[in-house]
Parts: sequence; C-alpha cells; structure tokens
Amino acid sequence: MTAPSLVLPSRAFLDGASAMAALLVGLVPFGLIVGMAAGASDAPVAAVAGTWLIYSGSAHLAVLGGLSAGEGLLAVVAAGLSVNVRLLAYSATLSARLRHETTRFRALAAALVVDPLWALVTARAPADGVRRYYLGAGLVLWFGWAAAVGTGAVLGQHAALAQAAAVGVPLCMVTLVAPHARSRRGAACVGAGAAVGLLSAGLPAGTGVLASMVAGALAGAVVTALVRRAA
Amino acid sequence: MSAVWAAVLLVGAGSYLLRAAPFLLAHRLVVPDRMAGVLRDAGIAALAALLATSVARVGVQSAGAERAVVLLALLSAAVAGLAGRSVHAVLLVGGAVYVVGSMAATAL
Repeated sequence: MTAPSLVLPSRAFLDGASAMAALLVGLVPFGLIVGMAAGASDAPVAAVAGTWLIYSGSAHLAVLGGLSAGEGLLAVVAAGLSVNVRLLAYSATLSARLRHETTRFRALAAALVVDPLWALVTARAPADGVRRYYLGAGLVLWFGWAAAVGTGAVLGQHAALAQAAAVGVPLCMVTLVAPHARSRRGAACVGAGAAVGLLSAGLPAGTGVLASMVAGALAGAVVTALVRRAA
Repeated sequence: MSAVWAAVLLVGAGSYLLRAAPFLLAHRLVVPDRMAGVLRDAGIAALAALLATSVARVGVQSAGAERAVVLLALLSAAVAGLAGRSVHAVLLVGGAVYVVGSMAATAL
C-alpha cells in the first residue's frame, strides 16, 4: 500500500503569502473603513459586492462616496474607472512576467491585480517562482481584503478605525514604495509621482494619480537619458 | 436595478477589462523593454502619489505629538525599506517606532 502523497505549497507561494499577510495587518483598518461605507449604503449587498467586482479600496470608496453625495451614475462610473486606470500599467508590467502561462491562469491572475500585489511581485518575486509568488500573495490579499470589508460592513462606524487606518495605510504604502526607490531612476519616479500627487490632490478623483503616472514616466526617461549620456 | 448595483457592475466590468487586456493579449503582443520600463515607472509614480496623499492626510487629521510619532514611524520604515529589508522587517520597524513613540508621547 502506498502512502498518500502530500502536496505542500512551494517556497515561493509561501513567501508571497507571508509577505502579503504582513501587509494585510496594515491594510485591514482601510478595509474596515471601506466596509463601513458599504454598510451605510442604500443597497449594502451591492456595495459589499464591489469588494470583489471593483477590488480596489480607493475606487470602491470613490464610487460609494459619489453615490452617497447624490452624483449621477455616469459621473460615479467615470470617477471609479479614472481611479483604476493605473491598473492598466500594473497589468501590462505583470503580464510580461506571466506571458507563458495558460489563458485560464492569466484570466484569473488579472482579477487579482491591485497596488500591493504589483509592488510585491515586481520588487520581490523570485525569477524562478513568479507564478507561485503571485498566487500566494494575490490569494491572501483577495480573501483577507474581502474579510476586512465584510467585517467593516457588519461592525458599522468606529472612530478608532480611522486612527488605525491613518497609520496602517501609509505604513503599508511606504513598505511597497521604498524598494522601488533604491535606484536613481526609481527614486526620480517616486519623487515626481509624490510631488505631482500632492499638487493635484484637489483635482477630481483619479486625475491626480494619472498626472503622477505621466510625471513618473517622464522623470524615469530623463534619468535614463542622463545616465546614458554620462556613460 | 438600483444605482448602486449599476455603478458597482459597470466599474467592476471596466476595472476587469483594464486588468485583463494586457494579460489576455500578452502572448500576441511583445512589449519592448523600453515601454516596459516606462510602464513600470508610471506604476511606481502612481504608488508614490497614493503614499504622498495618505501622508498628507496624516498631517491634516492628526496634530502635535501624534502627528510627529506617525511621521517618525513612516520615516523609520522608509529607511528600512531603502536599506533593502524584508516586508516583515520594514513593517516591524515602522510599527515598533509608532508603538514606542505613542507610549512616550502619552507618558510625557
């Protein structure tokens, strides 16, 4: 009689899951806040369904905020999609690293794309284990985020959560951004993106991030050209 | 159908298209290295913009010692991240500085 084989997750899968689980601790307060906004909506089931369908806290909040402010459907949809346009750049970068996977896997992988996953995979995934690192990190965030938003919708308003999110969210963002700023080109992108993000904070939802992306791409191109010229 | 369902479905479908288009075309389109670099730079800048606005919110929503403690924690985490430390180490450094700083601020 042969013993049943035990299939263990690979090292890369566990590394991705572990890194994302650590980040999730900081992101949970933000998820709870999104959940509170969803729970306070006119149609809470639909609002909570946005957790999986929109799968981006900032776009989800933009949609819920717009609806609760009485904005029209077109304006709300435009705002939500503007906030999420950055996902196109994330997917374009990630898809190159998963080009050789099956269509079914790529269709699933696309649904998981969001800021923390992109930042972790591009900065920390091992070259020989991208698929598994991606799945480990992506699935932990998918289920963890959904749990946080669902819990927030049930719990309702809590002032302490806003304080926790005020620390947890920027701390997670620092963790994601810092590794990219270790090169001159990355540092220029971070500087340009942050400066334009601050200057355009008062613009309609999503516009500032788009302007920052353009500024970051330009800053990266300028630094690359300067480095080439110096060489 | 309520406006909430309509908005969630439309933004959800649009968001999935934004996510999926590059993945589903990846085997047909080869993104040149230069373009891949530009997209990566744009992604980094988007994250930096989100970080900057969340830090600015800290400046607005908190005051005095609390604001200083949060900013010190973020600075410590940034230094650890720039030094190439792991995700766990960066979060631990930032979290520890925040906890210790908050306790000190409360005691003073």
